[in-house]
Amino acid sequence: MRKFIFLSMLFSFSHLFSQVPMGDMVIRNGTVLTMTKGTLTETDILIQKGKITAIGKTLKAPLGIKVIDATDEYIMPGIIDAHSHIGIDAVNEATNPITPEVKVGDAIDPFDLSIYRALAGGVTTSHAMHGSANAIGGQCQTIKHRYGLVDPAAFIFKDAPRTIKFALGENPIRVHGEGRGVQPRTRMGVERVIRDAFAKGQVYRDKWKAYELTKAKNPNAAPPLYNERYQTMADILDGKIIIQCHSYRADEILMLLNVLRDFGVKKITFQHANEGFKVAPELAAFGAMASVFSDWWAYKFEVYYSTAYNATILTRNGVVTSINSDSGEMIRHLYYEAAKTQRYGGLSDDEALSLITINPARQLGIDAKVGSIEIGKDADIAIFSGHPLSVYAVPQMTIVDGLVRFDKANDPNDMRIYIDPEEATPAYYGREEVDECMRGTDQMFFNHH
Amino acid sequence: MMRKLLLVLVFLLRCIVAIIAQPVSEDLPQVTGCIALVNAKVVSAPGKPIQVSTIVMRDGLITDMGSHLKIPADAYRITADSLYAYPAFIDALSSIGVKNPEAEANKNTAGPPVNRGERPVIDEEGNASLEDAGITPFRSVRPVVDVKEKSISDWRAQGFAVAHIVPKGRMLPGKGSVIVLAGKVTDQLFWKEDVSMYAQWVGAGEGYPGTVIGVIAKWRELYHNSAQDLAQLASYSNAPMVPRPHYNQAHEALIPVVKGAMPVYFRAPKIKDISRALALQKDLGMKMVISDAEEAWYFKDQFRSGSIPLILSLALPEDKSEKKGDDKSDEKKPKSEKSDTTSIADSSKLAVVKVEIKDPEKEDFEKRRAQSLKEHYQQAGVLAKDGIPFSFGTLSGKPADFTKNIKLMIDNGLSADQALTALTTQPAKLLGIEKNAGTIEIGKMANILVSNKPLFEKDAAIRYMVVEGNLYAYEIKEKKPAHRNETHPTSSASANSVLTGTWSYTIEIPDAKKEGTLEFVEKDGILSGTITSADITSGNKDLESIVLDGNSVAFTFDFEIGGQLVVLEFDLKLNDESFDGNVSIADMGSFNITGQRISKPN
Repeated sequence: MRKFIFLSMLFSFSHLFSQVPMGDMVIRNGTVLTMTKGTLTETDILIQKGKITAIGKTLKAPLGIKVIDATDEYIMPGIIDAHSHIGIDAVNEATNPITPEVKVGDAIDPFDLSIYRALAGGVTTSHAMHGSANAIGGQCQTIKHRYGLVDPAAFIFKDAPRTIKFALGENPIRVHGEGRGVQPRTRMGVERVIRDAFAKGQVYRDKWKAYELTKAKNPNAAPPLYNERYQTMADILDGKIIIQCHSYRADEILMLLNVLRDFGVKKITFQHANEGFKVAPELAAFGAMASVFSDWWAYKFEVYYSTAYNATILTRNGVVTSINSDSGEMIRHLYYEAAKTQRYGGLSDDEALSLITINPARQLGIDAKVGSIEIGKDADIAIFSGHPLSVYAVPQMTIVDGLVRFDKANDPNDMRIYIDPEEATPAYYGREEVDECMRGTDQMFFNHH
Repeated sequence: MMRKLLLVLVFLLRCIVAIIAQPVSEDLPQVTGCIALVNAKVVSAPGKPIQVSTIVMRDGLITDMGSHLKIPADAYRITADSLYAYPAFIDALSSIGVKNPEAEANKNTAGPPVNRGERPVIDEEGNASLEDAGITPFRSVRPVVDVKEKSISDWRAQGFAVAHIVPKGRMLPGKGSVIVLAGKVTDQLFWKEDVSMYAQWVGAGEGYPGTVIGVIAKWRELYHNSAQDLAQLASYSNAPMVPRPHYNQAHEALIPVVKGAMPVYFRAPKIKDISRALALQKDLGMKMVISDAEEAWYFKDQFRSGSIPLILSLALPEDKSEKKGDDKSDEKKPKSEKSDTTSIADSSKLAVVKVEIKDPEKEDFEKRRAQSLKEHYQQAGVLAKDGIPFSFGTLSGKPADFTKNIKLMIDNGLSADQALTALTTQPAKLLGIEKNAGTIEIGKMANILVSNKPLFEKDAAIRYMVVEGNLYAYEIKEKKPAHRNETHPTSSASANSVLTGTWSYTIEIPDAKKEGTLEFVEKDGILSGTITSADITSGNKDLESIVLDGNSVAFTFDFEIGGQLVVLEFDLKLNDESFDGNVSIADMGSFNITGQRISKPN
């Protein structure tokens, strides 16, 4: 009987990993924007087994290794999008105001063309998020853009910390309060729903702690009922999961900071945070981070008070800030989005590019592996024809784990992997795709971000 | 007596069903429990050479076989010199005999758990009841099976004798059973009850779990709790001072799954369905059978060891190519029953369109789609070539497509032996019934398929089915147009005149005669007809699929009764002023019909 308990403990959060292909290559003579170690001209990068093993001028490389000539080109770390919904089949489990137990990582879609489009914009890693229908949505999944592989598990960013979607304001209110007639119906209700979930998570955690203590003395002690929902809340309380909270208004951002203080939760990044600039010192004091749009607002009432200086103000106040897409289209030109902070706020080149590289890596807890070009880091690299912050720059090649996943010089017309045998003309042909927060809820409600 | 009652009842209720396979009689008089199939060309198991042999069956078992047998005096003899005998098919996963829940009728699978406008009842956590959530692992398929379901005779007519059937529902519909496709009462069908757990990627719509991620989360929680219950039940029975485990019907029902005693048949047709089911299996460790697979060739490595058995779907994707009907197209395509004139019209129309718009991008799409279609047809062949064992299941298939699809797979690399294996010995092994079924051997269940030609060959058709010693005979109709909805437009007025007018008819059923009139009219070369009888009060009087071929006429009459569509199939021979023939009704048999002309058309 023991073995069944053991079995049931084993499965909880383990992801069995399939072998992911890794590549070797040397990139010669480019201008390397390392993000953490300055800009290096006429520099080579050696990649072995998917990792950067050497950076320098005229490096020695193993015979026969793949050589990429980057003369007159710019090399930057693969871009990271801290907020997207590409590469997953389910975005919203919009049937309950709190669904922390669901994981979008269970529904990875290896065939989503948006992944290839993202690669074409130099994006190598994205944070596939649960939608914003619920006050506490599901767990998100950091994915690597290994487009071309068929196994969903191969897209998982290995050992990336767990993250979870929270959502404040109009979306959960509309879906649950207005749409389903349950709490939350107001912003007060959103706070109550979140507090209630944390409180129940505490009770649940205490019950299990008590059980573990009793079990040490009495192996026949009866375990409490297992609850995936409150187990996840307990994991957040224990600091095992980073909260990624959809938010716009300053008051609701402060509200959640207060809630987290009350429950002793520290890890949080506010997503969108259009009014983040109003509470930037408070965010910095808490250690909270912010992932924002460069200049996208006014698509609904709670997003009217916004400014293109948001990212700059947050950065200048010491908040780790990133710029995200929340869109299968915008993800393709995040480097333009980052460049806007130079026009609005005058960030330096490195500061602007940090918004789409090392900063989102920090927010996702993967900065030890990606986000900059350093020896020992993953060989996730984007090569541009010019400086990526120039409007004339065009992405030339995108490399993930030392393997070329996008090459402008070799970019076939039809990059679909899976072909529906009954669909002569693909559905995307002449139709726009949507990859945003409220996907999966549009039969019930209006579609908004 | 039972049979008569049933028949009368059926006629009174006008609940009549017909099938395409033309059974001469679904219910030959069984005066003896012994059947002898004399001098048939027998393939006793897949891969075995043909041997001329006589098979003696008694009381549902094969009791003797060989070339020089003494045939028991009481045996019902079937002279089978020109016929071929094979082990009858075993269906690894299906819903044969399973009633359609009435509530499901007007609802798509992703629909809400309750009527729109009505709020589902939820608990304080916002969760719906187990039923509304589609979590009913405690349910058995038994109560939703009806011996009168048309699917039983339809699939039997395609060669199936045994089926593993599962209930309909959402994420965890319930437990499956093995049935034998012969019996007069529902209980008689059941062989092994509650042998499997059926699961699918179907959420509860607007209720929790609504999406695939909700379904997976729910699986983890249910499984974890069942594992806990199992451990605690052991403590409870072995040690003092242990509280009784909390009771939850779903957790309780999943305990055999957690123990590994009951396999989960996971419906996973598409590639992502399969990868998610395999990931769940790795995660939780249950015994799993990947079922109804249409795209399993992507996962050859996972299936090679056989530790996760595989059931392939008998449904194949349809060729929806725009070029379909184009004369220049050299690809083999399954043709639907379209009349020739329609496809000629289509292709000429297309030719015009093609001149106007030439879209190389679309043409490339079309090429890749055709390649994908080919890969789907090749699935079974590719897996078989790699030595990966699999069975076939009818769950998503249609009886009318069965032969066509098997042939399509054979045309695309599957051998006839491999097809037979996947329809007999492999599913027998999977279901643990290989000692009793799957081959023709002495001591095994008398499940035999008798065909006019070697199986899967062109024009091969079933003549007899023996299912646990019950004999079913089928008539082979030659050169007869298949079931069609359009009337042959080329029939000339003079040819139609043998039929047009009003006829009286009499159907002879035991102890009774059913009478009425048939009227046929012709307009612009198209025949139509109506039936009038005191027995028919359900509104519809129109005859359908009227096919006149010389002096032979066939047509069907269908109508709705109690929400169910039922069909009568007529097959008549005209002799100037009178006719005779038969009326087929699935499960009820075939009955004589005679008639006289009352009048000619005005």
